[in-house]
Formats: sequence, structure tokens, C-alpha cells
Amino acid sequence: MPAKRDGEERARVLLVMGEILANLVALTLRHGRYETRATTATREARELVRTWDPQLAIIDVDHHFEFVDLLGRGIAHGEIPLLALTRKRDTAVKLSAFERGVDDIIEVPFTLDEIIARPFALMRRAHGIEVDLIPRINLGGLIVDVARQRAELDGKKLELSPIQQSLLYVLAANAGKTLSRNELVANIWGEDFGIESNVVDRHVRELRVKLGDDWRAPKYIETVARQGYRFRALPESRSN
Amino acid sequence: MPRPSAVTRRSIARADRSATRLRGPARILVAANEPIEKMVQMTLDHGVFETHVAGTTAEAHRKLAEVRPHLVIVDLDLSGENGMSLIGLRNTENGGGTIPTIAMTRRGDVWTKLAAFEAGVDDLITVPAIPEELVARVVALMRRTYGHVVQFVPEIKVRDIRIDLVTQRVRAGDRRLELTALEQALLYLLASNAGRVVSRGEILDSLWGRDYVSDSNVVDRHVRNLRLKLKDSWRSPRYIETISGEGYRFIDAEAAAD
Repeated sequence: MPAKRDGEERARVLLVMGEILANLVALTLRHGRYETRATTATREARELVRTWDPQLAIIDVDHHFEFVDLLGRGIAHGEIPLLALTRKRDTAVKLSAFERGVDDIIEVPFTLDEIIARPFALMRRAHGIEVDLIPRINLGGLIVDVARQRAELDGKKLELSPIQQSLLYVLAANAGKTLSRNELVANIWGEDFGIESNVVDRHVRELRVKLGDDWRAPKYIETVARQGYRFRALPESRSN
Repeated sequence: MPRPSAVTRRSIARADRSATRLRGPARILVAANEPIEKMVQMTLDHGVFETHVAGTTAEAHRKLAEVRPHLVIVDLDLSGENGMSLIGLRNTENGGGTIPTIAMTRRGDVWTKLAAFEAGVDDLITVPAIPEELVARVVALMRRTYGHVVQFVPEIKVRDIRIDLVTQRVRAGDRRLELTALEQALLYLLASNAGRVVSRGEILDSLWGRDYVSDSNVVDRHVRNLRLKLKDSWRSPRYIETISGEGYRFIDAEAAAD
């Protein structure tokens, strides 16, 4: 990978999706030299296209398909590359998305490396830009290494499964906000996947064990009674 | 000698209508280890393709000249070999351009994915390869490269189990089943290898990836759920047999069932 040059521009990525998912994707894209803006309002999206000139758009096509047309139908039409997110296991929907100009698709549930690899490939294909990657980022004192699926806490290395990593990121990306079990299911697995909400509790429990987090006095993940889970520490914006 | 697949290829006869630019069905070369190779082959029955398989990189290179594939699918974990060497090969079928290639990688493996894109791969499929995702990506890539509209076959039949990829409806006899994406992938994996014992290790490797073994019961749990939905008794199974100490086998009873 080419060496990183300081002061170099960041690649601009427009996120068209709900807030929780947008936060997760934005946090994951901190593993590359990207800057992100999120909106689901057509007027704001048009304004951003005019003034901010995004180089890539990631669209939740299950809820915001109309943005595929609004943003110009993808690379084949010489427009902004479009990356679609979908939870639907429906070939016809995907084929029609490709037909309408979507350049690539990420299926929910995704592992975080998809959010890194597919934008990387599209930036390369559409603009010839190789976005520099930042494998390790700091989430409130917790160093996570997406490439090695590992986290580091006080010098101690923790191995995380892909689901644990996604869970950690979605909670950390929405730090300070309580996420319900249903919201966690919807944003990690998608509603179609047949995941019951007690599966969330099991994964949170396993993640806490790995983080050495005590549910009675949590440093990272709090249980909010009858509501869900909340990540306490604020993710820091700098790498390492 | 390849054993005939348990899948009914009833729609192959419609091939010619769709071949607007290509003469005959699109040829696909699949380079993967056996259980995955068979699963990909069966999944490709959802489109009108002529599928060829290779179990090693060397075999794949040998078959290139003979098959002249329009598209290559390569599992980058092809045992002990460099599957990357199959990416971006030149072929006369694409006007001297490169053969479009889809690589299969394990989930979470960001470096392999990036290396594959750098090597010029056109798309990636992450294991577990959900059948529906595989079909969509192959059809889209054929379209993007050749402008060729692949005739899509929503429903395939495995004995008396009918699987419709568009509606996600699965019927066994006259019962309707709801399968999760992973259960569906498991069904394709076992059914495509009908008659052969697929070990737990092979199932894990094919559906979860080697690094994902957080829970060694995960295979048994999914097989149990799939059996429950198929109303298959483990004592006198109609579909999925347990081979003690070895793994699972989908009963190859095509002749008896039809």
C-alpha cells in the first residue's frame, strides 16, 4: 500500500441511512482516510452533492432506494460510485439494484472488513485513488485492530469473533445512546435473519467477558434496564 | 467420473433464448475445494450456465484453455495453493481483455480482500456463501462485462424439496418452511454433496470460515434446526444422516424419489 502523506485530502463518503447504521459505518470508515456525512433528506443530499462533492455514496436501499436515481446511477453513467446496503435476501431486488446503477452491494449482516474492502475497491475503480488504511483505531482506550480481528486493552490482547467485533463497533459508534435489542438485531443481522433478541444478550455477555467488563460496574457496556445497552466511553477521533 | 448432481436441471433447455450475445450458455470455471465446489455448482443451477470445476489451482490453469470460461470463481483458500494466480487472466472470450473473476474469501479477512482487489478481482463473495448472494453477483458481473442477460432460474429442486431464491420460499412436499440464510446455505452444501459424508470441519470451513470457530457445537446446532424444519428424524432420516464420528451425509435417493 502506498505510504501515507500528511495533509492529504480525505476521500468524501456520503452515507444515506438511519442514524445508528450511519454511525457504525462512519466509525468503521475511520479505518481509512475518509470523511463522512450522513443524511436521509433529499434536499440535504442534493446540497451536499453540489457543495461537498462526495466521491462515494453508501445507500441503505431497503429504506432509501430513491437516492440511487437522485445521486446519478453509478460508475457506468460516469457518476458517483454507489454502494448499496441491503438486508433482503432477494436476488430480484439485488439484480434490479445493479440494473438501476448500483455498483456494489453489501449484505447485512456484514462483517466490518466489507465496509473497508468494498469502498476501497470502488474508490480505486472509479477514481484511481488508493485510500490509505488505518488498521488500528482507539475506542475510548480500547485499541481495535480490524485486520487482525483483535482488540487490545491495557496491553492485553483479546480475540474477537466477527459478530463480537460488529457488536462492539455499533455500540461504540453510538456511544452515549441506548440501543434496544431490536435496534441491535436490525443493524447487525437485519430483521430477516431470524435472530431472537436473547441472542443479543448472549453476545453482549461474551463480549463483556472478553473486555473484562463487569455488568455491575461497567467501564464500557452498560445495561439500561428494559431498554437495551449503552456504550459509555466516547470513541476518540484519532488513530492510535 | 463426476457423479450426477441431485438437482433437477429442468430449465437448462431454455438456455438458448437468453443467449443474446454469447453463443450458448455462459461457461464458468469454479476453482475450490470439494464441498464448496459442489455447493457453488449447485447454486449456479439457478442460472443457465455451463459449470466446470477444478479442485486445485494447477487443474484450473489446465482447464482454462479447454473450457475458455467467461467467468472464473476462485476460492482463495484453495488448499495450499495460490488462488490469486487465477485472477486477471487474459482470454479471447472478452475481446482480449481479462476474464472476469469472483474470489471467495473468509469473513473478517480484510487483507486478503484488499489483496484480491489489488490483483484485479471483479467481485468478492464472503464465506458463508449465501446461495442467493452468489447468484446475484455472478449474474450482475456477466451483465457488467458482456452485457449478457443470464436466464435466471428462481426455483431448483433437491429431491422433493423446492427452493425458490426470489421468494425465499422452501417447500418440502406440500409443507412450507422458513429457512434462515445459514440454514439454506447448509442445505445447499449437504445436498450438493449428496451421498458423500461432509465432516464438521468441512462444514465449518465452508460456511463459517476457519477462523470463526467460536463455538464447536455451531454445526450440530444448525443441522438440528434444519432437520427440525425438514421434519427429518435423526433415527430414521429421509434427508440428513449422522455418520457417527465423521459428520453428516445427505441421502442420495434421487432415483427413488422421482
